Amino acid sequence: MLAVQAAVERSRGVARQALAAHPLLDEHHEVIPALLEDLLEAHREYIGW
Amino acid sequence: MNPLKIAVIGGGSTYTPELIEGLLAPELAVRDVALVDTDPRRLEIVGGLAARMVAAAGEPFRLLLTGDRAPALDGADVVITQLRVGGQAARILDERISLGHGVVGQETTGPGGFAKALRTIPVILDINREMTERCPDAWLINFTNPSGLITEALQRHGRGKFIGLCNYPLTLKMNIAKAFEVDASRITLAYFGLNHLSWSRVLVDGADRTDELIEIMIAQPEHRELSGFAFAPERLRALGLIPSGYLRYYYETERMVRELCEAPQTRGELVRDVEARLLAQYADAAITAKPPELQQRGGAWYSTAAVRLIRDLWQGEGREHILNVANNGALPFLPPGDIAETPVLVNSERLAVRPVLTERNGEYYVGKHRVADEVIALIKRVKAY
Repeated sequence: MLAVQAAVERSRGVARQALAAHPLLDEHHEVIPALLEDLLEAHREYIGW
Repeated sequence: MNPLKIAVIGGGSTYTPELIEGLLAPELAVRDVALVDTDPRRLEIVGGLAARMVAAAGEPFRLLLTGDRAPALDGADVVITQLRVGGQAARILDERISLGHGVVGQETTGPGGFAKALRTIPVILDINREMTERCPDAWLINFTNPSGLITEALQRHGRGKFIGLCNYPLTLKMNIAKAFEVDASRITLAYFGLNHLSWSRVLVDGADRTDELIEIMIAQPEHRELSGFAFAPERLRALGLIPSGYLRYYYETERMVRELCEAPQTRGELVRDVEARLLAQYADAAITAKPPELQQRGGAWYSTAAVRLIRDLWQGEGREHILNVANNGALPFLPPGDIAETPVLVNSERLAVRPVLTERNGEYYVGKHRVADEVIALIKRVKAY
């Protein structure tokens, strides 16, 4: 749900919430900000926010 | 049934010859197939092979190759989306960036699937909006990953008729039929969960033989990866369910990250290389059928699943498909509008979800088998993300 919301609203805040809610990242919350920025930067051409 | 017009968005995919082979089968009446792709080179190569396949079959339908969605969507009965925004290069970045941060790097599961959803959802919703003008009665059949999230986006923000389709459930069924040495028509999957996050009990001729299948998987090496991964025997026995191979990323997370990091290539890099070889073969004007190497690309049974679904949407007799649709009670702990991957009876445009789980006193069962609380909890968590 949060992932869909992030895509539709183009929201970094919701995107961070989505990743924080993912069970595979339960023990990796410290990497989420950098991980998100790296993904958004790598795909700037396609995501654009 | 009037012959159908089918638009394929992402028609330059290396999967397309597989799909064309299915559309050429006599069980479907097709008048037009339009392959749409934003990459003119891929459209020329893949479309060229598709044209030769259609010609070799006696041209039972017209084939349009175009970079423009409009003529493809105009009057379409079915729109199949099998696109990959950013191509394999973007997928490889998803994998490598995630692994670089020490977490699972995979196409649909975890942050890789998340990034793919961010790239893909706006494009799919745009296609859906254009369909409301050009082919408002058409079915959108989405094969694009992450299929669960894409279908959820359509459910919440789209219009019209849509279904999420994945080849995994049919592949699982075929593998189980092989293990039991029976025709697949005798197998019924009591299947529940989300796309790439699913579990099954298995019935043969209506009798639950899941426990026997688990012992076959444990004892017979050729069937050990029947569900996509060789899970530990104690996990299979404790679950009492056949877990989707994609659950390895949840059940064996540390091992998966380690193995993905140590592998010489990510799956995306491997597929990129396979696709390069495939495209070289597709470009050979002497080839008029899909090459055997396409099997290495993955996507087994994709064409069969898609063609059977289209057939039953138009002339169905209540056959069962496992699809991504509004769960309507299939997952009773989720709102009915949330998308689940669930058995559905498809009967001439009517979809009827066949619930597999029953709830008794806060516990969930498949038949007489109680589903572990951790399974339900994982579905809830992944749906919330």
